[in-house]
Parts: sequence; C-alpha cells; structure tokens
Amino acid sequence: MTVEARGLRKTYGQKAAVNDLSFTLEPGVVTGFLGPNGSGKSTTMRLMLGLDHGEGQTLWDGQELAAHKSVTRVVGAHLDARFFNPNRKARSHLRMLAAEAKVSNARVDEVIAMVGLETVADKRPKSFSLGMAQRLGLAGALLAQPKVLLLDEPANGLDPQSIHWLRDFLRVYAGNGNAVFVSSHLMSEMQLMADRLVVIAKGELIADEDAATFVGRSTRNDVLVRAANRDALHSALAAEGIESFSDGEDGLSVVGAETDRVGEIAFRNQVQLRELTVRTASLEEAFLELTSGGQEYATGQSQPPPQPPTTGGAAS
Amino acid sequence: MMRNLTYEWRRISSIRSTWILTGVTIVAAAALAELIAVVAAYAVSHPTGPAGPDGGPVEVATKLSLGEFVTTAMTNPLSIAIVFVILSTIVAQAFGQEYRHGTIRLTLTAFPRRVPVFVAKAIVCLAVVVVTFVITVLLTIVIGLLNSGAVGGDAPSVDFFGPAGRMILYLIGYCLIVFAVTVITRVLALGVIIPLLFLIVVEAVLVNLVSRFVHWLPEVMPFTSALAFVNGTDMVRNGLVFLAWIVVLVGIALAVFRARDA
Repeated sequence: MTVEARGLRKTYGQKAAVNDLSFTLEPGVVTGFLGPNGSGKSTTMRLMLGLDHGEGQTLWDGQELAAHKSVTRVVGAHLDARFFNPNRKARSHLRMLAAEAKVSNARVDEVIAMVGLETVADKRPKSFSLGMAQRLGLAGALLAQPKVLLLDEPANGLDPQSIHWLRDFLRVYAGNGNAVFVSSHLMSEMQLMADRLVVIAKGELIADEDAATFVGRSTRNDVLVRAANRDALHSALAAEGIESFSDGEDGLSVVGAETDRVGEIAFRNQVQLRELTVRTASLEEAFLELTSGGQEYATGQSQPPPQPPTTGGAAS
Repeated sequence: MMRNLTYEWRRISSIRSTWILTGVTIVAAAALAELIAVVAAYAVSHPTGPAGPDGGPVEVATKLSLGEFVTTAMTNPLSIAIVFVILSTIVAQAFGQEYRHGTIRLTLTAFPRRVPVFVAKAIVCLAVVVVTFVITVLLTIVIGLLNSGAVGGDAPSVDFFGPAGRMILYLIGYCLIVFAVTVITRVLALGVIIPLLFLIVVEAVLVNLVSRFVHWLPEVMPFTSALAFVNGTDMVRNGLVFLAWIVVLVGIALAVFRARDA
C-alpha cells in the first residue's frame, strides 16, 4: 500500500506547526521520520490519521482512511506508549482494539507473545515500565497485520535487546511488502533501520530521499589522506581549488573531491601517500548539520560547527 | 456500526469500575427499598401515633400497595440522587476516561468516523444504565413482596408501570445530559458534577428566587420539568421541555466532538 501525504498543514493561531508537507510512503520500505523536538512530527502523524483537523489530505492507496472497510487492517498506529487505561488488563486492552478488524482472540495471544508480554498479559498496566508500555502499544498497532505501520518514537524506553529486536522486526515487516513510517531520536538506530528519510524542521520539509543520499549531502563527508609531505599535498590541492584541513600528524581532510582525484594530484606532485580513505558522515552528523537553525526548542549547544570536525586547524 | 458497538461493549465491560458502580447502584437501591419497607412496617405495627391534645390517636398507618411501595422507593429524592449519580458516572466514563488516558486517539484511529463512535458510546452506556435500573426495580418489587408487614394486604392496587417507565426516560435523559457535558468539558468529574449541581442546587435556587420576577422560569428548567413529567403533571409539555434540553446539549456535544482535535 502506498500512502501519499499531500499539502499537510496545521496552524495554532498564527503559528504553523506543519506547513505544506508532502511525502510518499512506499510498500516494502522503512521510512524514518526525523526532526528536532517540536518540529511537528507527532502533529504530522495525527494529521495523517485524521485525529487532528488541518489542511491537506492523506491518501491510503488512493482513498481516505475512513473509506476503507477495516481501518486497522490498513494502518496500525502507535503514537504514545501511555495510551491505555491503567485499570484495564493488557489482554483486555488488546481485545478491545481487536474489535474493529474482528481479530480473533488467538491472534491477540499471538501478538502478546510476539512482543514478550505473556507473563503480564492479565495484569493491569498501571505498573508497567515505559518499555513494557511501548511493547503494549506496539502490540496494539500490529494486531490486525496492517499494511502500514505508523510509529512515533517506538524505541523510547526500550533496552538494547528490545531495540535490536524492534529494528529487525520492522525491517522484516517492511520486507513483507508493508510500509513502515517510524520517528525516532535515536539516530544510530535510524541509520541501521531506515531505507528512506523524511526530515522536517519547524514544520517544513527539509529532505525526502534515500538515507544514503541524505547522509551524502553532508559537508562532513570527506576524504582522509595521510601523506609523507602533507604541506606539499595541501599546496597541490589548493592549486587545484580543493579545500583541505590538517587532520592528525600527517593527515589532511579533503572536502569536495573523490579519492581518485586526490590520488591523481598526489601522484602528479610526487607526494607519497600512506592512506587514502573516504569518510562518510553519520546520520546524526548529517541530521544536525541539515537541521541546524530548525530547532524549535534549542539549548544553544546543539549547533554543529560550520567546518569539518576533524580539523586540527588549517594546514596553512 | 456493529464493530463500534462491540468495541464499546469491550471497553465498558473490561474495567472494574463499571461493575463496581452497577453493583453499588443495585445494593444501594435495594437497601433504600428495604429501609422504606422497615419504616412502613413499623408504622403499620404501631397504628397509634403520639397522643393529641385530647389524648386520642392522631395517626393510623395502613399497608402500602405494591405499586405505592415501588413508586415511593424509586422516586424519593434520596433514591434519585444516589441512583442517578452512580449510574451517570458510568456514562461519564465513556468519554471522560478516554480523554483522561489518551485512548480516545486509539478509538478514533480505529474508527475515523466520529458520529458512529459518539452514537455507539451512547447506546452501550445507556443500555447498561437501563438494564441496571430495571434490575433495581425488579429487586424493589421482590423486597416489597417479601415485606408483607408493610406491603400488600387490602391496599388498593396502584399502577407503577407508568411512573417506572417515565423514571427510565428521565434517567436516560439525565444520563444523556451527563454524557453531553462530559464530551464538552472532556473531564469526567465535571460531567457528573455540573448536571448534579443543577439538579439539586442551581435549579432550586433559580426557581425559588428568580421565578418571583420571571414567572415562566420554572416551566423551562430541565430537571423541574423532568420531575413533573415523572410525577405525571402536564406530561407532554414537561416532557418536551426536558427533551429540548437534551437535544440542544447532545447536539452541541456532537458538534464539538466532530470539530475538535483528538
């Protein structure tokens, strides 16, 4: 199932929480949803589900969500770990949610086992830890085996094993032809999990592209070259209009050139090389760089430095 | 719609408070009925009251008919207050708990069409309330039959189906007002307290004070009209006044529910 969000917009007074946001979720793809705090991620998900009223529309295989015969077979949403009545047993909570799609009790038990809540299924979740609450929320989203999963920060509160399980599970789920749309602040996890990224800041779209392309746009991608005569190589590169910064005892961080080009310049200038390596920015670095200035509630310390971080100062 | 109703039934039946509240209602109503029977039996067994100035009897009590007993047990102010407050709390939970715990978002994700959600909640809650109330009426009848010292004998029969039926309509109307106020305020406690305050305080104050200057005021007060309807006074007019209040409040609640972000 393909999900098309078109022109989503939500305002609170004069302020636009989400502004003309359009993107597409494809089947078989895990799409990461990134944005600083207060950037409008949760509002966007609520708009997609029709929970909040705003402008624009979201089409699920070309139809409004409410037009589908069974909504929970179309989309399973997990928006907040604490969306349950603390006095209703976990199993009863899921059986209640199962009513929309006429999901059997056997499937409820299956999902309980899948998320590892068998031992507490007949307990009231008021004493559940955040991790257990996340699992209950995830179980609710998975009940009717929906074609699309919408998960808002599902990894919050999970232990490392559970995060690993969640990552593998979502990749397999998408691999079965379903669309997965997941927001998270855990960049390292997102880097391992997401095939595609939708990135927003202050409610506006920053990027909607493959994760690799997004990371590749970062200026923190560079080439590390270690040379016997660093200063000579720096001069040779500068003569070709290529910027470089000192990195370590004998290294240069070269920005804006491929390894082939750096190697060729070194060869032509008879500089002996000791190492020539491509260094790719992490998703976190790319995210921080590309959303700098887009943070709604900043601490004042999160802005990345404008120059590559590996420099020990310019070589000359 | 069946899925909405199933969802609502599973929601309301899977929390203990629903069963605690229905149980308390039944026990409290039965206890009040028994109390009335005991008092009536005492009055019957002590036919001579305190001596008057001439030393003669001033009061002679006779047994109540079953109809009188049931009507008295159901329509006395204490019974109304207790039964209405407890049962209306079940109704207020339909939306109050959903907003409090955020589960309204789960509900509206599964059922994006809001009108059926609203209607299903009303139907299921009112069904539970009516069934509970019918059980209390049946229990009151049994208590009346068991207390032969107070009820029965040669007492003339009095129809209680009419008052009981009107009482059920009053209860349904009251619960719908609670339902509407809870939707509008999104707070369970306010949904229960605001109608109750109008029922026992605000309306009485308005009727007693303001009606001296605004003579028609008592005729348009919802609960004054509803009580008059239950007692069989000008039933059509009083019934319509009460119905108008219900329609207006439920209409506002539905409009608010549809327009509001979840």
